[in-house]
Amino acid sequence: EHLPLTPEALKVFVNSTQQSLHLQWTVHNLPYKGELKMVFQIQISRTETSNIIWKGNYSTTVKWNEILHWSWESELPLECATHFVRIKSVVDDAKVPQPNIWSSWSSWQEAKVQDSFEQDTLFIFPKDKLVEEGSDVTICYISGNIQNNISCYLDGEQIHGEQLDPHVSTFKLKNVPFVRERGTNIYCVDHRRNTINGGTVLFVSKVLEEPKNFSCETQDLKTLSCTWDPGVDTTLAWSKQRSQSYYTLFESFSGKKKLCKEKNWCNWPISQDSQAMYNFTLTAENYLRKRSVNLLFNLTDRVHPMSPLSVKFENISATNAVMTWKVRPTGDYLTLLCEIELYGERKMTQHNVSVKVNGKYLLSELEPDTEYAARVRCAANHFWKWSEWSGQNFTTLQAAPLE
Amino acid sequence: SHMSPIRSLQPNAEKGIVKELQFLSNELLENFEEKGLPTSSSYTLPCFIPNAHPPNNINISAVQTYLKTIGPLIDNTTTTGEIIEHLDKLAPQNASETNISVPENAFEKKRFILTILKQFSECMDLVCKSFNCEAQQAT
Repeated sequence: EHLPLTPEALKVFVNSTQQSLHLQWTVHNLPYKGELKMVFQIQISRTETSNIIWKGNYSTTVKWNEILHWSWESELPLECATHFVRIKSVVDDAKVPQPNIWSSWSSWQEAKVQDSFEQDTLFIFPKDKLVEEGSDVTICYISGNIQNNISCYLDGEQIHGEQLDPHVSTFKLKNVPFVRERGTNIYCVDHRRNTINGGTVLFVSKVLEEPKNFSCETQDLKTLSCTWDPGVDTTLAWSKQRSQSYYTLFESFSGKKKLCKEKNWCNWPISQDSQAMYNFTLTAENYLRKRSVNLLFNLTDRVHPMSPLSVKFENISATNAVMTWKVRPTGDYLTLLCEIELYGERKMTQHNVSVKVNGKYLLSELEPDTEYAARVRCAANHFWKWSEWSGQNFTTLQAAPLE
Repeated sequence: SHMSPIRSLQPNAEKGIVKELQFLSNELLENFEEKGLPTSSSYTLPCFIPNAHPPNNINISAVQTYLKTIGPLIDNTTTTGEIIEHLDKLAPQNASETNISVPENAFEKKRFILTILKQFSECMDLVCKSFNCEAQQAT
């Protein structure tokens, strides 16, 4: 039994900004009351129904009484020409014995944005479009007069197009470059009246780059500081909202997400009961593109201690001195490895010591009556980065006279 | 209101201000000019007070209003702010209430700005002539 199920109630909606046609339709009398795999063939014509410019198939599973949707993006601004759409279908489901025959076509549905233009008018489309550097862009002018002597200019250089119909000419711009933040100027001159009354700006933005050197660390096990190199700035003047990029952090173990205020850093709170492992996705997004990078790490592998405090020297004698310092608390008092550098007598000696809260080290075999400089820095035992140095100078006492 | 402004400045001081205005107006224009951007005869800056004689013929409140509108559009409220202050020194006038309507479409908006900045620059050149700016100031 053949089932020519014809698509019905085809409607076409126009989105000028995105230069796209949105189709919706239904299929009635679906047997089996359930689902049926079907293939829909769609044809799109421009200017006249006979001038088919696009044809393609769309396969989907159709449910009872479902409204189906499909979209098509036009390289030509939809204001520049009337478009026509029709659709037919065929069942493509194992439940239904072959062969199946295509339904008849639906009637052509018209998608028209611009009505006729008044005499002596001249319009250019698209209006203030935002594209990425390197894109191909098609523009058109629509003139109210048929006999026209019109020439068009891109940033002052004449461009040459093709006539689409007596009122419309189209111009294909290949691989458009970024010129300036305020966009590229396009206008046309009607030489019969020597007037410029149609102009538009093509906002060409740099391509959003994938964030580089994405890294996170903590100094106190309370806050994670994430930083990255955002790469080129895609923000344009007068098109800020659409062209600027936003950065969000998503942590998959906790499922939490944060919209970052800055373009190159973001803080993330570490809760008391927080997990050890972190799996971050940093997403850069603007109106035209989205880029993501990931980072998986163990919190204790990303501790970057703050510089030590209160470096002091006690019990200074002619040949010894006790160096003390404090480290700022990190969570549950991680053990830190501290490195001491002692400068004196034209040489440097190095010493290491493990520390929890207060650091202490005996500097011995020193020269009497000598000025020394000592400094200390610390790192987590799961080494990530050294803290900054903290240091002080001291002078050993004079040696007591020999008996 | 086009009341003749009350002048309290010394002539030399006025000439200094006008020279600075000429410099700043040219700077604004040069920073904004773009390849392939024509001016438009649809926009006019009411720079002079009709039938008034230099140096009292600058329509200061109108010019200030236009610059207050354009400053944010060109991300340059510093220079326009400086110009507005200099104009205030020439003859403080009560702010004009007129609202300037700026074209919505980006291309026309650019043409509007370029045309006004060009006319303001030409206007300051004329004012400078009337103040004999080029002549060396008496030391």
